[in-house]
Amino acid sequence: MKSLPRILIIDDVYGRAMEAENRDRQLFCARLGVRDVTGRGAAASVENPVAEALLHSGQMRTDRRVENDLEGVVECVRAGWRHWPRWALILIDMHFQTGPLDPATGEPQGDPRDRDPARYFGLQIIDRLLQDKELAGIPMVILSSMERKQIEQRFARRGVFAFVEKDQLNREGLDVLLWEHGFLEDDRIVGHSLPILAALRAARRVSRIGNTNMLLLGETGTGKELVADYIHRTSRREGPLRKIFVRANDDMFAADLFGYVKGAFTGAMRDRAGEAELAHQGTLFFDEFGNIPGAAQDKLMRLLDTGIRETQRIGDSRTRKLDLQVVLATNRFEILKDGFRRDLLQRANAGNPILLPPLRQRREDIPLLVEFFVRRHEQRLGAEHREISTGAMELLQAASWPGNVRELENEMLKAVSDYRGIRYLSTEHVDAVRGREAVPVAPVPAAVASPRSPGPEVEQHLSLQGVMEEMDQVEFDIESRELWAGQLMGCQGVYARLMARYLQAALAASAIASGEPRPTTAIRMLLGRKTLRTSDAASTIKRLLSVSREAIADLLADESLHLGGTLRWAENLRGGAGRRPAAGQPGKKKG
Amino acid sequence: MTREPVVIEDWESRRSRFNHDWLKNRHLNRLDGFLALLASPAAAPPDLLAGFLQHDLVEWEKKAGEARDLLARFEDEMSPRACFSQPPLCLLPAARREWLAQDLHDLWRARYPVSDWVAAAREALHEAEQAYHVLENLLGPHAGERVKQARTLRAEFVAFAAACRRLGDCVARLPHEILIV
Repeated sequence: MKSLPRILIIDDVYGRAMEAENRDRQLFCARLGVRDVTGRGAAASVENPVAEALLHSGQMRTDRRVENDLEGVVECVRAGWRHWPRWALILIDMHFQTGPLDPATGEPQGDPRDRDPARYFGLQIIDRLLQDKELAGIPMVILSSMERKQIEQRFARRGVFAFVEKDQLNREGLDVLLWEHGFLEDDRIVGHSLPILAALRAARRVSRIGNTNMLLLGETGTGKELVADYIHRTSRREGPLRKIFVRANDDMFAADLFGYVKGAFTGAMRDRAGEAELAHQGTLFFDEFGNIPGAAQDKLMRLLDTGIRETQRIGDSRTRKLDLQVVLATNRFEILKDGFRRDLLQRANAGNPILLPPLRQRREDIPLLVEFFVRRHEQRLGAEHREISTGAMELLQAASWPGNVRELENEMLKAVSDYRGIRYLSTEHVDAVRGREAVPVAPVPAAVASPRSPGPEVEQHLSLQGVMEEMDQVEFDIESRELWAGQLMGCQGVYARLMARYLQAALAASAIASGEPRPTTAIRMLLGRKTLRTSDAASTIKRLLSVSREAIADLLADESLHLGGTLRWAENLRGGAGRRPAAGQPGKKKG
Repeated sequence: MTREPVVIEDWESRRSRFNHDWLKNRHLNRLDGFLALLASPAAAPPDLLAGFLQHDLVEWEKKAGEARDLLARFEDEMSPRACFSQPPLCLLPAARREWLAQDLHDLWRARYPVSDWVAAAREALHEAEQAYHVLENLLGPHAGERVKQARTLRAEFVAFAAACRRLGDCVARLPHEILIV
């Protein structure tokens, strides 16, 4: 059941304690349509509230003075961010009035420095929250009646989504802010962990654009179809949601998608509209987009080109113009690297995919999902209502779930159907997941640690190939760009340097016997293989050194490390395997 | 020669106190909140409505005076002429200071639409005052009657809020510093 989004409003006037009547706060809440959940002396009830709000003054008050309390604010933000219900959005005032209390009004008289844009307490709060890694990604909006121009550059940074004039904000405006920037639950998608809420927000934002394409990337069982449904619902498009499931080597794919006219091919007994046509003014969802056969990729170009958006039935000379929102989903992350037409990927908006988190990144949601699936299957199978033991839940939360939510659901179905008559679900009923606890991060391959003698450990750990694949997935498992707040580039940089150093070590090892570095030997050692084609070695080198050229620019420039020369060798190899690199460069002999 | 206070900061801070602290942070918030409550009568506690009408709405009478004063003093305090009342320009010989200050003031008025800015703000203030008086007349003096009466005056409250918002915008548009000529 979806709960009301919870927002935090940091404002010296509206956040003031309610020991005495605070009409400003009550009327503010009425104006925004929010339910005040601050606590003592909460305000009047609000009909159909948009959100529930906690109001914080951001200040400390003594008998005589009022001072700003930065650490108090941070603690309040942190407390409401760690656990559910967590802040969907934070609204921050800029100007906080401090100083001695005016005996007549009981309000702070103000300090001239309070009004100095360079010292606005609201900006100090934002700066402080941005510095805190735990709090990175909290959606923040400035709510102020101060002059915007003076602080424009300072707040135009990641994490601050908007500046809203205080006297302009109302119920509808807050609703829009929440919709665009907030972390909101959905009725039909179970979960409120940050990764899933971030994915839903990304989906909402794209769905509003309308006639566009978007790519959903997620492992199997992460709910791509559910999210496509969510995108369609939130887009409020008039037409239907049509789904097309792409199977590998599907001969009928083009006919299903584009439709056909009678006699177009054997078995075409009558005219038939394709799914694309049927989705006109609505949403077309391609599941397993990565399976689209190569021949059909060409035909898809005109449909995915948002400027053209045309479809043509097979055997028909007429084209039909469509108004479509296209959602493409795949679990094949590798299509972004190869195997797909680049121009098709560009049209698919592959540069900005919506990343659906695997279940291992949203363990917080497992209890909710377990409860949901157990109840669903109890009802479906007419089974007894059961309690779920803490031990069983802990076991389920610790499992790795490579099949993600789908696998969890299957496990719960089995637990209910096998034990219909019980009223207590214990570890015995989910014992099958025992031993599937999440695996630790793969250690550095022994081949790299000791290139001369790889040793038996190589067999027990992930190969370099495995590490690269894992790292590729880490790159795509990023919860969202906002949540990472710029750390993605840093992570990629670290990864790039690590890979470059591996290669450097392997090149050095390969030089021990022959006196000069030999790229293919180095890669063979890194991969733990007995044989390796030169072209495979070259493509691995390019892959290792192409994660972030900027991050390893210094290593590439240092000729003594042989990395730059090795990369040139690999890049030039296309003209003919084994072509010799320039004199003085590594790999003169076949590896 | 008597040393005058630093009037430039004074006008700016008085503007901030009026426009930011009171008009936008309090008055318009209260008015909009009150209107929201009028739109959903079931959720509107009578005490809150009465408190607004008895204490908050009537603040306008006092604050309108502040607004009038603020606008009246704008030219004097935000013209470059004001710089001649402070060091170092106040140290100029009086004869030279007078004509130079006047010339700069005239230039300032010629270069910027000062009169238009102030006139627009005065007009907005006038509209707000009129809207307030209409409301007050219709609400009547009896505390017990005012809440009941207010529920029928939504359009008048909306008009008053709109006029106040225009006033806030006009006052905010006035320069925040002495403009160079």
